[in-house]
Amino acid sequence: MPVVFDEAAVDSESLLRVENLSVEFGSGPRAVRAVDDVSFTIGHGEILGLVGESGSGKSTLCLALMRIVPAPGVVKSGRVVFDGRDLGVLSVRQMREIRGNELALIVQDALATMNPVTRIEEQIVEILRDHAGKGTVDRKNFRERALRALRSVHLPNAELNLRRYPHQLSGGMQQRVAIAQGLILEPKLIIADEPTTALDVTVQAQILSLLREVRDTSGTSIVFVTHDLATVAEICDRVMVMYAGRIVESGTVREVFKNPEHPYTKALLSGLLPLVGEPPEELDALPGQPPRPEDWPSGCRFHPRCPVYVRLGKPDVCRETDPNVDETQSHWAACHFANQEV
Amino acid sequence: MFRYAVRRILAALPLLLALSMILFLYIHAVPGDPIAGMLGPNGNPALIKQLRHAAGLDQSLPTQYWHWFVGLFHGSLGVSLVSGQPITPILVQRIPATLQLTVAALFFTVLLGLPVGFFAGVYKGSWLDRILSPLSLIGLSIPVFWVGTLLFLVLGVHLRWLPTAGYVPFSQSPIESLRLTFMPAFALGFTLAPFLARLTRAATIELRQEQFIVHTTAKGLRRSTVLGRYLARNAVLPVLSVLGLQLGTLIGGQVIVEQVFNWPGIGRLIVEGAIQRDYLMVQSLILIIASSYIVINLGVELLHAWLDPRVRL
Ligand code: SF4
Repeated sequence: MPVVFDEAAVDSESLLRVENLSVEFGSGPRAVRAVDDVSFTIGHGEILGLVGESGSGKSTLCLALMRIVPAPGVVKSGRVVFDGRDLGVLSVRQMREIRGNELALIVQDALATMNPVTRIEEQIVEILRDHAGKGTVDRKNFRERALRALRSVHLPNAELNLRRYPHQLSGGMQQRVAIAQGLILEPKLIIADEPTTALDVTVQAQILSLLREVRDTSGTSIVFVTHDLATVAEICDRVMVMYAGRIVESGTVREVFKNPEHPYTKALLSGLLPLVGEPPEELDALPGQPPRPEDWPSGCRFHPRCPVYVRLGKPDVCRETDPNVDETQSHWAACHFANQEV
Repeated sequence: MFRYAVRRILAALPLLLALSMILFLYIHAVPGDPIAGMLGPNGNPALIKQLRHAAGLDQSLPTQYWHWFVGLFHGSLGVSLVSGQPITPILVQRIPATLQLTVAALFFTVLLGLPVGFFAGVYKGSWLDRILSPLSLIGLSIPVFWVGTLLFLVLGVHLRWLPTAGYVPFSQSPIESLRLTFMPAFALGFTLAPFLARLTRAATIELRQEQFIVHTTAKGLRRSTVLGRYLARNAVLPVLSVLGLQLGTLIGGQVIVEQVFNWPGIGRLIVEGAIQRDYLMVQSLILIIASSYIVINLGVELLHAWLDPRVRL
């Protein structure tokens, strides 16, 4: 089955290109737009940070990249071009062959993604088996590869843990197994949705360095979703800030952290300023509640909470017009007053 | 797993002891003297006294219990008040037939109930589900004697495909034995299966929401893997624990089915014993049935633990 090749989509620079992607839940006038007109690219071997509060649409965006948004969610418009293929036009079978193979998803709660009644060995081997050619049952070789995968994520006692059940492992070990599952077929892109949030600080650091090691040795690209800015600064190359279903600022980590342009990003980063002790885990330092997809604010969605908006005397433009952005720039922010000193 | 099994078996022992006590008290708390009842209102008081003494009924309750209990340990359930025969051999004679019917009925229950419920759950809302679910609701309300009689008339009398009634030991003639088992077992299985199917369907539907099932798509697993290793293996767990409890219904149903198909099982002994007021017979039979209930549930528990590693703690 030939893969649909899109001439225009071939892009030596980027592995993944997302164009005007929108995801809606429900249909008709009551449809809720969780992800709204998002565009970005990820280069080969790049680690892209995706930051935002919970409910900003970052997890939905991750699922949309893999085309596994659960019903009643639907990808309403836009394209996801992965490694030269428009994922939107692939068949169910072609998509299955890509998922878990070229495109891996790692989530926060590793235990919840595992079959509670089978051993770790089975859970890794089944991925190999289901992505091998028809009729390939090379159990011994599969077992060897599973072992190697567990060792590559520095899981202690790999032999023993292969015989264990998921609930018998610690949280950190479970996450390592989940990463081993994700890595075993050497995917080109890993989508890591808050992979360290549930872990304690030491284990967090170990998992982060593991992900960086994977990128450095295999050239794997990673989308790293988090709401912890310190983590972004530590392992990401570029960062996108998401707010209310949209990307509000994008740039290299250096650009965004040194010179944030969007008031939301500035607010987030200022929460980092008192660098005594631990950085705050949650991004709730802003006044008001983060908006929900049922009632995104008009115009710039940040205006009800924006300190700049208040300082400027609540200009109409913020309430009435979506800020335009030039997404071809390396560093951009979706704010009418992005480049002005206020 | 081994330690878990030992622990569960040890926990079942006091249960059996308590069961024997409660049963004993229950039977003896029933008003009316069994001997007087047996002889009727015109019974000779002297004869009643003599018989009571012979049966040990004039002793204190703890003494009576103790005698019965010691007897149990020697494999003796006492003597039937009606026939004067020892109960144990009568029972032992009936057990193979009951066991055969139970196993066969369970086989049909599972064979019909599990796949129907599973696929109705997997394809919830599809045409398959929309046919199977109302059917199981109808099946749930059909009494066992009705199914039994219908089978009897159609397969046995009209089509003459199967012998209508009776029992032949399996060891004597396996084929004839199975042919005779089919109708009573199918009638029982058919009435129990709808409940099992509904249970399985609900368990499967609930499971489909679980993240580890949803995540199988992200792992790119094949449909066969998801159905077999993920859905089926996990859906069976909640069903299993209820299946053990459902055995009570199966035993109750047997009493009826044995009448319809002239099956010489324990169920008919109970009916006869109760009609003849043979209290020791009834007491022994209930003890056997209740104990097997405990033992079967123990078996189900062990099976559950074997299938679900989270249970073996
Ligand atoms: S557009 Fe206005 S409201 Fe939105 S972030 Fe910029 S200043 Fe604040």
